[in-house]
Amino acid sequence: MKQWIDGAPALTLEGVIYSPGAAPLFKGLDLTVPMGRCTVFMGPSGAGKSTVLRLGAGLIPPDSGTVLYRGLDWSELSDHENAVFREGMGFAFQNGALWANKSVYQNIELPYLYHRPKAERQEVRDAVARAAHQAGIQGQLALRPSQLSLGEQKSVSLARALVMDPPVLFLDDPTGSLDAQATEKQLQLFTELKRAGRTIILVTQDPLVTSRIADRLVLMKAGEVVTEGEFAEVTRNPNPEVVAILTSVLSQAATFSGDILDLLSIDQGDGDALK
Amino acid sequence: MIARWGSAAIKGFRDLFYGCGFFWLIIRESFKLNTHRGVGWKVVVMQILFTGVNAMAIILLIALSLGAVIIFEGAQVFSLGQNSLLYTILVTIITRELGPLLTAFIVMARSGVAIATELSNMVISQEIEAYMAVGINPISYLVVPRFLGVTVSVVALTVFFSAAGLAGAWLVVQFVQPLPASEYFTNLLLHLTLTDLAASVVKGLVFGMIIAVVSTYHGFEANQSSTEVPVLVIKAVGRGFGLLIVANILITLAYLI
Repeated sequence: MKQWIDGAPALTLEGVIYSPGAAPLFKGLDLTVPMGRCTVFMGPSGAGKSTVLRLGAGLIPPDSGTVLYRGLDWSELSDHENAVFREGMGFAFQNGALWANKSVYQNIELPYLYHRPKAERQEVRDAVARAAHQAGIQGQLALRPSQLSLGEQKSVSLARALVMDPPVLFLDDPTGSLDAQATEKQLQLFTELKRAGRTIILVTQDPLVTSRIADRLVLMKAGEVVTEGEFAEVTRNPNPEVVAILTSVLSQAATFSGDILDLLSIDQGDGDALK
Repeated sequence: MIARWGSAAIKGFRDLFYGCGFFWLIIRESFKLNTHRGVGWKVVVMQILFTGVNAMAIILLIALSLGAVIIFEGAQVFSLGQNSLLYTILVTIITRELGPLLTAFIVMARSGVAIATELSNMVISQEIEAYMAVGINPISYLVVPRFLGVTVSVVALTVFFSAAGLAGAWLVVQFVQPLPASEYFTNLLLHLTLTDLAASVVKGLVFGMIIAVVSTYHGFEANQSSTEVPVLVIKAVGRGFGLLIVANILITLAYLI
Protein backbone atom coordinates (compact mmCIF):
# COMPACT_ATOMS: atom_id res chain seq x y z
CA MET A 1 0.00 0.00 0.00
CA LYS A 2 1.44 3.35 -1.09
CA GLN A 3 1.70 6.28 1.34
CA TRP A 4 1.50 10.02 0.83
CA ILE A 5 4.91 11.58 0.29
CA ASP A 6 5.73 13.90 3.20
CA GLY A 7 6.36 17.46 2.13
CA ALA A 8 4.98 16.90 -1.38
CA PRO A 9 2.69 19.59 -2.80
CA ALA A 10 -1.06 18.96 -2.71
CA LEU A 11 -1.14 19.03 -6.50
CA THR A 12 1.50 18.87 -9.19
CA LEU A 13 0.52 19.03 -12.84
CA GLU A 14 3.36 18.46 -15.30
CA GLY A 15 2.91 18.90 -19.04
CA VAL A 16 -0.79 18.11 -18.86
CA ILE A 17 -2.56 17.93 -22.19
CA TYR A 18 -6.33 17.58 -22.08
CA SER A 19 -8.94 17.87 -24.81
CA PRO A 20 -12.55 17.65 -23.62
CA GLY A 21 -13.75 18.09 -27.21
CA ALA A 22 -12.11 18.43 -30.58
CA ALA A 23 -9.89 21.34 -29.54
CA PRO A 24 -7.35 20.94 -26.72
CA LEU A 25 -8.04 22.94 -23.55
CA PHE A 26 -4.65 22.41 -21.91
CA LYS A 27 -1.59 22.19 -24.14
CA GLY A 28 1.07 21.31 -21.58
CA LEU A 29 -0.16 22.75 -18.31
CA ASP A 30 2.36 22.97 -15.44
CA LEU A 31 1.13 23.90 -11.99
CA THR A 32 1.94 23.33 -8.34
CA VAL A 33 -0.47 23.79 -5.43
CA PRO A 34 1.10 23.63 -1.95
CA MET A 35 -0.29 21.82 1.10
CA GLY A 36 -1.67 23.74 4.05
CA ARG A 37 -2.62 26.85 2.08
CA CYS A 38 -5.75 28.19 0.45
CA THR A 39 -5.19 28.41 -3.29
CA VAL A 40 -7.86 30.19 -5.30
CA PHE A 41 -8.30 29.84 -9.06
CA MET A 42 -9.80 32.79 -10.88
CA GLY A 43 -10.31 33.61 -14.51
CA PRO A 44 -13.00 34.17 -17.10
CA SER A 45 -15.56 31.45 -17.90
CA GLY A 46 -14.09 28.67 -20.01
CA ALA A 47 -10.56 29.25 -18.70
CA GLY A 48 -10.36 25.64 -17.46
CA LYS A 49 -10.47 26.30 -13.70
CA SER A 50 -13.03 23.59 -12.88
CA THR A 51 -11.26 21.17 -15.21
CA VAL A 52 -7.99 21.69 -13.31
CA LEU A 53 -9.85 20.78 -10.12
CA ARG A 54 -11.33 17.62 -11.65
CA LEU A 55 -7.96 16.61 -13.09
CA GLY A 56 -6.24 17.28 -9.78
CA ALA A 57 -8.81 15.23 -7.87
CA GLY A 58 -8.32 12.34 -10.27
CA LEU A 59 -11.92 12.48 -11.53
CA ILE A 60 -10.85 12.74 -15.15
CA PRO A 61 -7.56 11.48 -16.57
CA PRO A 62 -5.34 13.76 -18.67
CA ASP A 63 -4.70 12.81 -22.32
CA SER A 64 -1.00 12.99 -21.48
CA GLY A 65 1.23 14.45 -18.78
CA THR A 66 1.35 13.73 -15.07
CA VAL A 67 -1.04 14.62 -12.28
CA LEU A 68 0.40 14.05 -8.81
CA TYR A 69 -1.79 14.34 -5.74
CA ARG A 70 0.35 14.65 -2.60
CA GLY A 71 3.22 13.14 -4.55
CA LEU A 72 1.34 10.14 -5.95
CA ASP A 73 0.18 9.66 -9.52
CA TRP A 74 -3.57 8.92 -9.62
CA SER A 75 -3.05 6.62 -12.61
CA GLU A 76 -0.67 4.39 -10.63
CA LEU A 77 -2.96 3.78 -7.66
CA SER A 78 -4.80 0.48 -7.28
CA ASP A 79 -8.59 0.51 -6.84
CA HIS A 80 -8.13 -0.14 -3.12
CA GLU A 81 -5.54 2.65 -2.69
CA ASN A 82 -7.75 4.98 -4.70
CA ALA A 83 -10.71 4.29 -2.41
CA VAL A 84 -8.68 4.58 0.79
CA PHE A 85 -6.86 7.79 -0.19
CA ARG A 86 -10.09 9.54 -1.14
CA GLU A 87 -11.12 9.46 2.49
CA GLY A 88 -8.58 12.25 2.89
CA MET A 89 -10.09 14.59 0.34
CA GLY A 90 -13.46 16.23 -0.18
CA PHE A 91 -14.86 17.60 -3.43
CA ALA A 92 -17.74 20.07 -3.63
CA PHE A 93 -19.14 20.31 -7.15
CA GLN A 94 -20.15 23.46 -8.98
CA ASN A 95 -23.63 22.12 -9.71
CA GLY A 96 -23.92 20.14 -6.47
CA ALA A 97 -23.85 16.76 -8.28
CA LEU A 98 -26.08 15.31 -5.58
CA TRP A 99 -27.42 11.77 -5.90
CA ALA A 100 -30.99 12.45 -6.95
CA ASN A 101 -32.41 9.18 -5.62
CA LYS A 102 -31.15 9.83 -2.08
CA SER A 103 -32.23 12.31 0.59
CA VAL A 104 -29.91 15.10 1.71
CA TYR A 105 -29.07 13.03 4.82
CA GLN A 106 -28.23 9.97 2.70
CA ASN A 107 -26.10 12.09 0.36
CA ILE A 108 -23.96 13.23 3.28
CA GLU A 109 -24.04 9.86 5.02
CA LEU A 110 -22.88 7.66 2.15
CA PRO A 111 -19.15 8.63 2.12
CA TYR A 112 -19.02 8.00 5.88
CA LEU A 113 -20.74 4.61 5.59
CA TYR A 114 -18.39 3.69 2.75
CA HIS A 115 -15.16 4.61 4.52
CA ARG A 116 -16.26 3.53 8.02
CA PRO A 117 -18.43 0.46 7.38
CA LYS A 118 -18.25 -0.62 11.02
CA ALA A 119 -19.22 2.77 12.46
CA GLU A 120 -22.09 2.82 14.96
CA ARG A 121 -25.32 4.47 13.82
CA GLN A 122 -24.89 7.25 16.38
CA GLU A 123 -21.36 7.98 15.15
CA VAL A 124 -22.66 8.30 11.58
CA ARG A 125 -25.52 10.54 12.71
CA ASP A 126 -23.09 12.77 14.61
CA ALA A 127 -20.75 13.08 11.61
CA VAL A 128 -23.65 13.98 9.29
CA ALA A 129 -25.03 16.50 11.82
CA ARG A 130 -21.60 18.15 12.19
CA ALA A 131 -21.08 18.45 8.41
CA ALA A 132 -24.65 19.70 7.88
CA HIS A 133 -24.19 22.30 10.61
CA GLN A 134 -20.89 23.46 9.09
CA ALA A 135 -22.55 23.90 5.69
CA GLY A 136 -25.68 25.46 7.18
CA ILE A 137 -28.18 22.91 5.91
CA GLN A 138 -29.14 21.16 9.15
CA GLY A 139 -32.83 21.91 8.56
CA GLN A 140 -32.96 20.23 5.17
CA LEU A 141 -31.70 16.73 5.88
CA ALA A 142 -35.01 15.02 5.11
CA LEU A 143 -35.48 16.69 1.74
CA ARG A 144 -34.60 15.37 -1.71
CA PRO A 145 -32.09 17.28 -3.90
CA SER A 146 -34.86 18.25 -6.33
CA GLN A 147 -36.59 20.16 -3.51
CA LEU A 148 -33.57 22.41 -2.98
CA SER A 149 -32.40 25.58 -4.73
CA LEU A 150 -29.07 25.46 -6.56
CA GLY A 151 -27.38 27.33 -3.71
CA GLU A 152 -28.72 24.80 -1.19
CA GLN A 153 -27.61 21.91 -3.39
CA LYS A 154 -24.10 23.35 -3.43
CA SER A 155 -24.18 23.61 0.34
CA VAL A 156 -25.18 19.93 0.57
CA SER A 157 -22.30 19.10 -1.77
CA LEU A 158 -20.01 21.02 0.61
CA ALA A 159 -21.40 19.09 3.59
CA ARG A 160 -20.75 15.82 1.74
CA ALA A 161 -17.17 16.94 1.12
CA LEU A 162 -16.73 17.82 4.81
CA VAL A 163 -18.27 14.71 6.38
CA MET A 164 -14.97 12.80 6.58
CA ASP A 165 -13.22 15.92 7.92
CA PRO A 166 -10.59 15.62 5.16
CA PRO A 167 -7.25 17.47 5.19
CA VAL A 168 -7.66 18.54 1.52
CA LEU A 169 -10.76 20.20 0.07
CA PHE A 170 -11.52 20.83 -3.59
CA LEU A 171 -14.27 23.45 -3.79
CA ASP A 172 -15.72 24.39 -7.16
CA ASP A 173 -17.48 27.74 -6.83
CA PRO A 174 -18.99 26.88 -3.42
CA THR A 175 -20.57 30.29 -2.83
CA GLY A 176 -22.13 30.75 -6.28
CA SER A 177 -25.94 31.14 -6.07
CA LEU A 178 -25.77 31.70 -2.31
CA ASP A 179 -27.29 34.74 -0.60
CA ALA A 180 -25.05 37.16 1.27
CA GLN A 181 -25.78 35.65 4.67
CA ALA A 182 -25.00 32.09 3.56
CA THR A 183 -21.86 33.30 1.76
CA GLU A 184 -20.66 34.99 4.93
CA LYS A 185 -21.29 31.80 6.93
CA GLN A 186 -19.26 29.78 4.44
CA LEU A 187 -16.45 32.32 4.48
CA GLN A 188 -16.27 31.96 8.25
CA LEU A 189 -16.17 28.19 7.82
CA PHE A 190 -13.34 28.39 5.26
CA THR A 191 -11.42 30.70 7.57
CA GLU A 192 -11.80 28.19 10.42
CA LEU A 193 -10.70 25.34 8.15
CA LYS A 194 -7.64 27.34 7.10
CA ARG A 195 -6.83 28.00 10.74
CA ALA A 196 -7.08 24.27 11.38
CA GLY A 197 -4.42 23.69 8.70
CA ARG A 198 -6.66 22.31 5.96
CA THR A 199 -5.58 22.62 2.34
CA ILE A 200 -8.26 24.40 0.32
CA ILE A 201 -8.19 24.45 -3.47
CA LEU A 202 -11.02 26.67 -4.58
CA VAL A 203 -12.47 27.99 -7.83
CA THR A 204 -14.51 31.16 -7.66
CA GLN A 205 -15.50 34.25 -9.59
CA ASP A 206 -16.29 36.13 -6.40
CA PRO A 207 -13.61 38.70 -5.45
CA LEU A 208 -15.07 38.91 -1.94
CA VAL A 209 -14.37 35.21 -1.37
CA THR A 210 -10.93 35.55 -2.91
CA SER A 211 -9.90 38.56 -0.88
CA ARG A 212 -11.13 36.99 2.37
CA ILE A 213 -9.55 33.55 2.16
CA ALA A 214 -6.94 33.30 -0.61
CA ASP A 215 -3.35 32.74 0.45
CA ARG A 216 -2.35 32.09 -3.13
CA LEU A 217 -3.99 33.11 -6.38
CA VAL A 218 -3.84 31.38 -9.76
CA LEU A 219 -5.15 33.38 -12.69
CA MET A 220 -6.15 31.38 -15.75
CA LYS A 221 -7.23 32.27 -19.24
CA ALA A 222 -8.06 29.96 -22.16
CA GLY A 223 -6.42 26.90 -20.60
CA GLU A 224 -3.24 28.63 -19.53
CA VAL A 225 -1.95 29.90 -16.22
CA VAL A 226 -1.36 33.60 -16.74
CA THR A 227 0.18 34.09 -13.33
CA GLU A 228 0.29 32.42 -9.93
CA GLY A 229 1.72 33.31 -6.58
CA GLU A 230 0.97 34.87 -3.23
CA PHE A 231 -2.30 36.79 -3.21
CA ALA A 232 -0.68 40.18 -2.58
CA GLU A 233 1.86 39.66 -5.35
CA VAL A 234 -0.67 38.63 -7.97
CA THR A 235 -3.21 41.34 -7.23
CA ARG A 236 -0.51 43.97 -7.49
CA ASN A 237 0.97 42.58 -10.66
CA PRO A 238 0.97 45.43 -13.20
CA ASN A 239 1.05 43.01 -16.16
CA PRO A 240 -1.76 44.22 -18.48
CA GLU A 241 -2.95 40.64 -19.07
CA VAL A 242 -3.34 40.08 -15.32
CA VAL A 243 -5.17 43.35 -14.98
CA ALA A 244 -7.43 42.46 -17.89
CA ILE A 245 -8.38 39.11 -16.31
CA LEU A 246 -9.03 40.62 -12.90
CA THR A 247 -11.10 43.35 -14.50
CA SER A 248 -13.05 40.82 -16.50
CA VAL A 249 -13.74 38.73 -13.39
CA LEU A 250 -14.71 41.81 -11.43
CA SER A 251 -17.11 42.89 -14.13
CA GLN A 252 -18.94 39.55 -13.73
CA ALA A 253 -19.15 39.88 -9.97
CA ALA A 254 -21.89 41.55 -7.98
CA THR A 255 -19.65 42.57 -5.12
CA PHE A 256 -16.24 44.10 -5.07
CA SER A 257 -13.36 43.66 -2.75
CA GLY A 258 -11.16 46.49 -1.66
CA ASP A 259 -8.10 44.24 -1.77
CA ILE A 260 -8.49 43.36 -5.42
CA LEU A 261 -9.57 46.86 -6.31
CA ASP A 262 -6.20 47.96 -4.99
CA LEU A 263 -4.74 46.75 -8.25
CA LEU A 264 -7.35 48.56 -10.29
CA SER A 265 -6.81 51.77 -8.38
CA ILE A 266 -3.08 51.53 -9.10
CA ASP A 267 -3.81 51.15 -12.77
CA GLN A 268 -6.51 53.76 -12.69
CA GLY A 269 -3.75 56.04 -11.53
CA ASP A 270 -1.91 55.25 -14.73
CA GLY A 271 -5.14 55.74 -16.57
CA ASP A 272 -4.72 52.84 -19.04
CA ALA A 273 -5.53 49.46 -17.67
CA LEU A 274 -9.28 49.77 -17.31
CA LYS A 275 -9.88 51.35 -20.69
CA MET B 1 -17.50 5.03 -49.36
CA ILE B 2 -14.77 2.49 -48.55
CA ALA B 3 -13.18 4.93 -46.12
CA ARG B 4 -16.54 5.32 -44.38
CA TRP B 5 -16.98 1.55 -44.11
CA GLY B 6 -13.43 1.21 -42.84
CA SER B 7 -14.00 3.92 -40.25
CA ALA B 8 -17.25 2.29 -39.12
CA ALA B 9 -15.53 -1.10 -38.89
CA ILE B 10 -12.69 0.33 -36.79
CA LYS B 11 -15.19 2.05 -34.48
CA GLY B 12 -17.15 -1.21 -34.22
CA PHE B 13 -14.04 -3.20 -33.26
CA ARG B 14 -12.98 -0.53 -30.78
CA ASP B 15 -16.45 -0.59 -29.18
CA LEU B 16 -16.28 -4.38 -29.01
CA PHE B 17 -12.82 -4.18 -27.41
CA TYR B 18 -13.96 -1.64 -24.81
CA GLY B 19 -17.16 -3.64 -24.26
CA CYS B 20 -15.12 -6.77 -23.51
CA GLY B 21 -12.96 -4.82 -21.06
CA PHE B 22 -16.09 -3.39 -19.44
CA PHE B 23 -17.58 -6.90 -19.14
CA TRP B 24 -14.37 -8.14 -17.49
CA LEU B 25 -14.51 -5.28 -14.96
CA ILE B 26 -18.12 -6.16 -14.11
CA ILE B 27 -17.26 -9.83 -13.59
CA ARG B 28 -14.28 -8.89 -11.41
CA GLU B 29 -16.31 -6.45 -9.31
CA SER B 30 -19.20 -8.92 -9.00
CA PHE B 31 -17.11 -10.96 -6.57
CA LYS B 32 -16.72 -7.92 -4.30
CA LEU B 33 -20.43 -7.22 -3.84
CA ASN B 34 -21.93 -6.78 -0.37
CA THR B 35 -18.86 -5.33 1.26
CA HIS B 36 -20.57 -2.19 2.44
CA ARG B 37 -23.58 -2.74 4.68
CA GLY B 38 -25.39 -4.78 2.06
CA VAL B 39 -26.17 -1.69 -0.03
CA GLY B 40 -25.30 -3.65 -3.18
CA TRP B 41 -27.69 -6.49 -2.34
CA LYS B 42 -30.50 -4.02 -1.72
CA VAL B 43 -30.07 -2.67 -5.27
CA VAL B 44 -29.95 -6.26 -6.64
CA VAL B 45 -33.28 -7.03 -4.96
CA MET B 46 -34.83 -3.80 -6.24
CA GLN B 47 -33.54 -4.57 -9.74
CA ILE B 48 -35.04 -8.08 -9.63
CA LEU B 49 -38.33 -6.56 -8.48
CA PHE B 50 -38.35 -4.04 -11.33
CA THR B 51 -36.92 -6.25 -14.09
CA GLY B 52 -38.34 -9.60 -13.05
CA VAL B 53 -41.46 -9.33 -10.92
CA ASN B 54 -42.92 -6.24 -12.62
CA ALA B 55 -42.44 -7.80 -16.07
CA MET B 56 -44.27 -11.03 -15.21
CA ALA B 57 -47.67 -9.77 -16.38
CA ILE B 58 -46.50 -8.84 -19.89
CA ILE B 59 -44.43 -12.05 -20.13
CA LEU B 60 -47.47 -14.09 -19.09
CA LEU B 61 -49.65 -12.40 -21.71
CA ILE B 62 -47.14 -12.99 -24.51
CA ALA B 63 -46.42 -16.58 -23.43
CA LEU B 64 -50.14 -17.43 -23.33
CA SER B 65 -50.65 -15.82 -26.74
CA LEU B 66 -47.75 -17.72 -28.25
CA GLY B 67 -48.91 -21.02 -26.74
CA ALA B 68 -52.44 -20.35 -27.99
CA VAL B 69 -51.31 -19.55 -31.53
CA ILE B 70 -49.17 -22.68 -31.76
CA ILE B 71 -51.89 -24.96 -30.42
CA PHE B 72 -54.63 -23.38 -32.57
CA GLU B 73 -52.57 -23.57 -35.73
CA GLY B 74 -51.27 -27.01 -34.80
CA ALA B 75 -54.79 -28.27 -34.23
CA GLN B 76 -55.67 -27.37 -37.83
CA VAL B 77 -52.88 -29.58 -39.14
CA PHE B 78 -52.42 -32.35 -36.61
CA SER B 79 -54.80 -34.20 -34.32
CA LEU B 80 -54.08 -33.49 -30.69
CA GLY B 81 -53.34 -36.12 -28.13
CA GLN B 82 -50.74 -38.58 -29.25
CA ASN B 83 -49.26 -36.48 -32.04
CA SER B 84 -45.59 -36.16 -31.15
CA LEU B 85 -44.76 -33.51 -33.74
CA LEU B 86 -46.99 -30.92 -32.08
CA TYR B 87 -45.26 -31.43 -28.71
CA THR B 88 -41.87 -31.16 -30.39
CA ILE B 89 -42.94 -27.86 -31.99
CA LEU B 90 -44.26 -26.56 -28.66
CA VAL B 91 -41.01 -27.38 -26.84
CA THR B 92 -38.81 -26.07 -29.64
CA ILE B 93 -40.58 -22.76 -30.06
CA ILE B 94 -41.66 -21.95 -26.51
CA THR B 95 -38.86 -23.42 -24.43
CA ARG B 96 -35.84 -23.37 -26.67
CA GLU B 97 -36.15 -20.69 -29.36
CA LEU B 98 -38.77 -17.98 -29.28
CA GLY B 99 -39.42 -17.98 -25.53
CA PRO B 100 -35.93 -16.92 -24.40
CA LEU B 101 -35.58 -14.43 -27.27
CA LEU B 102 -38.97 -12.77 -26.73
CA THR B 103 -38.29 -12.57 -22.99
CA ALA B 104 -34.94 -10.90 -23.67
CA PHE B 105 -36.52 -8.43 -26.11
CA ILE B 106 -39.13 -7.44 -23.53
CA VAL B 107 -36.50 -6.98 -20.80
CA MET B 108 -34.25 -5.00 -23.15
CA ALA B 109 -37.17 -2.73 -24.08
CA ARG B 110 -38.22 -2.22 -20.44
CA SER B 111 -35.21 -2.50 -18.15
CA GLY B 112 -32.42 -1.95 -20.67
CA VAL B 113 -33.93 1.37 -21.69
CA ALA B 114 -34.51 2.35 -18.06
CA ILE B 115 -30.94 1.51 -17.03
CA ALA B 116 -29.33 3.29 -20.00
CA THR B 117 -31.49 6.39 -19.38
CA GLU B 118 -30.81 6.45 -15.65
CA LEU B 119 -27.04 6.04 -15.99
CA SER B 120 -26.63 8.54 -18.81
CA ASN B 121 -28.57 11.14 -16.81
CA MET B 122 -26.32 10.41 -13.82
CA VAL B 123 -23.22 10.95 -15.96
CA ILE B 124 -24.55 14.28 -17.27
CA SER B 125 -25.45 15.56 -13.81
CA GLN B 126 -21.95 14.52 -12.58
CA GLU B 127 -23.42 12.03 -10.09
CA ILE B 128 -20.94 9.41 -11.32
CA GLU B 129 -18.03 11.79 -10.68
CA ALA B 130 -19.48 12.41 -7.22
CA TYR B 131 -19.27 8.66 -6.50
CA MET B 132 -15.67 8.63 -7.74
CA ALA B 133 -14.82 11.68 -5.63
CA VAL B 134 -15.78 9.87 -2.42
CA GLY B 135 -13.92 6.71 -3.48
CA ILE B 136 -16.88 4.60 -4.58
CA ASN B 137 -16.24 2.61 -7.75
CA PRO B 138 -19.24 3.24 -10.06
CA ILE B 139 -18.85 -0.19 -11.67
CA SER B 140 -19.04 -1.90 -8.31
CA TYR B 141 -21.77 0.30 -6.85
CA LEU B 142 -24.01 0.98 -9.85
CA VAL B 143 -23.32 -1.59 -12.56
CA VAL B 144 -22.77 -4.85 -10.67
CA PRO B 145 -26.14 -4.81 -8.82
CA ARG B 146 -27.93 -4.07 -12.10
CA PHE B 147 -25.91 -6.75 -13.89
CA LEU B 148 -26.78 -9.40 -11.30
CA GLY B 149 -30.40 -8.26 -10.99
CA VAL B 150 -31.04 -8.26 -14.73
CA THR B 151 -29.24 -11.59 -15.31
CA VAL B 152 -31.11 -13.40 -12.53
CA SER B 153 -34.39 -11.86 -13.71
CA VAL B 154 -33.95 -12.88 -17.34
CA VAL B 155 -33.13 -16.49 -16.37
CA ALA B 156 -36.19 -16.61 -14.09
CA LEU B 157 -38.45 -14.94 -16.67
CA THR B 158 -37.26 -17.34 -19.38
CA VAL B 159 -38.27 -20.32 -17.21
CA PHE B 160 -41.53 -18.54 -16.36
CA PHE B 161 -42.21 -17.90 -20.07
CA SER B 162 -41.74 -21.60 -20.85
CA ALA B 163 -43.99 -22.72 -18.01
CA ALA B 164 -46.68 -20.15 -18.85
CA GLY B 165 -46.51 -20.85 -22.59
CA LEU B 166 -46.73 -24.62 -22.23
CA ALA B 167 -49.44 -24.48 -19.55
CA GLY B 168 -51.28 -21.79 -21.51
CA ALA B 169 -51.32 -23.98 -24.56
CA TRP B 170 -53.10 -26.69 -22.57
CA LEU B 171 -55.64 -24.18 -21.19
CA VAL B 172 -56.42 -22.93 -24.69
CA VAL B 173 -56.67 -26.41 -26.15
CA GLN B 174 -59.60 -27.07 -23.82
CA PHE B 175 -61.68 -24.75 -26.00
CA VAL B 176 -60.68 -26.56 -29.19
CA GLN B 177 -60.51 -30.18 -28.21
CA PRO B 178 -60.66 -31.02 -24.48
CA LEU B 179 -57.65 -33.07 -23.46
CA PRO B 180 -56.91 -34.53 -20.00
CA ALA B 181 -54.12 -32.64 -18.28
CA SER B 182 -52.30 -35.85 -17.41
CA GLU B 183 -52.18 -36.89 -21.07
CA TYR B 184 -51.02 -33.48 -22.28
CA PHE B 185 -48.32 -32.96 -19.67
CA THR B 186 -47.10 -36.57 -19.81
CA ASN B 187 -46.61 -36.30 -23.55
CA LEU B 188 -45.03 -32.89 -23.14
CA LEU B 189 -42.53 -34.17 -20.57
CA LEU B 190 -41.64 -37.05 -22.87
CA HIS B 191 -40.58 -34.51 -25.51
CA LEU B 192 -38.95 -32.05 -23.14
CA THR B 193 -35.34 -33.10 -22.69
CA LEU B 194 -32.82 -31.87 -20.16
CA THR B 195 -30.83 -30.41 -23.05
CA ASP B 196 -33.84 -28.28 -24.07
CA LEU B 197 -34.09 -26.93 -20.54
CA ALA B 198 -30.35 -26.36 -20.35
CA ALA B 199 -30.38 -24.49 -23.69
CA SER B 200 -33.21 -22.31 -22.41
CA VAL B 201 -31.44 -21.48 -19.14
CA VAL B 202 -28.11 -20.84 -20.91
CA LYS B 203 -29.87 -18.48 -23.30
CA GLY B 204 -31.51 -16.67 -20.39
CA LEU B 205 -28.14 -16.33 -18.68
CA VAL B 206 -26.31 -15.06 -21.77
CA PHE B 207 -29.17 -12.76 -22.82
CA GLY B 208 -29.38 -11.28 -19.32
CA MET B 209 -25.66 -10.51 -19.34
CA ILE B 210 -25.89 -8.95 -22.81
CA ILE B 211 -28.81 -6.70 -21.80
CA ALA B 212 -27.08 -5.55 -18.61
CA VAL B 213 -23.69 -4.93 -20.23
CA VAL B 214 -25.05 -3.16 -23.33
CA SER B 215 -27.42 -0.89 -21.40
CA THR B 216 -24.87 0.10 -18.72
CA TYR B 217 -22.05 0.49 -21.27
CA HIS B 218 -24.07 2.88 -23.44
CA GLY B 219 -25.44 4.63 -20.36
CA PHE B 220 -21.88 5.54 -19.37
CA GLU B 221 -21.16 6.82 -22.89
CA ALA B 222 -23.02 10.07 -22.17
CA ASN B 223 -20.84 13.08 -21.85
CA GLN B 224 -22.30 16.53 -21.40
CA SER B 225 -25.73 17.12 -22.81
CA SER B 226 -29.18 15.72 -22.04
CA THR B 227 -29.83 15.55 -25.78
CA GLU B 228 -27.35 12.65 -25.85
CA VAL B 229 -29.67 10.50 -23.71
CA PRO B 230 -32.27 9.48 -26.32
CA VAL B 231 -29.53 8.91 -28.91
CA LEU B 232 -27.63 6.60 -26.56
CA VAL B 233 -30.78 4.76 -25.49
CA ILE B 234 -31.74 4.09 -29.11
CA LYS B 235 -28.17 2.92 -29.75
CA ALA B 236 -28.32 0.62 -26.73
CA VAL B 237 -31.63 -0.93 -27.82
CA GLY B 238 -30.48 -1.40 -31.43
CA ARG B 239 -27.16 -2.93 -30.45
CA GLY B 240 -28.80 -5.00 -27.72
CA PHE B 241 -31.35 -6.52 -30.09
CA GLY B 242 -28.61 -7.24 -32.63
CA LEU B 243 -26.38 -8.96 -30.09
CA LEU B 244 -29.30 -10.96 -28.69
CA ILE B 245 -30.13 -12.31 -32.16
CA VAL B 246 -26.47 -13.18 -32.86
CA ALA B 247 -26.12 -14.88 -29.45
CA ASN B 248 -29.34 -16.81 -30.05
CA ILE B 249 -28.05 -18.12 -33.38
CA LEU B 250 -24.69 -19.13 -31.86
CA ILE B 251 -26.26 -20.96 -28.90
CA THR B 252 -28.76 -22.72 -31.18
CA LEU B 253 -25.91 -23.80 -33.47
CA ALA B 254 -23.99 -25.10 -30.45
CA TYR B 255 -27.12 -26.99 -29.36
CA LEU B 256 -27.63 -28.55 -32.78
CA ILE B 257 -23.98 -29.57 -33.12
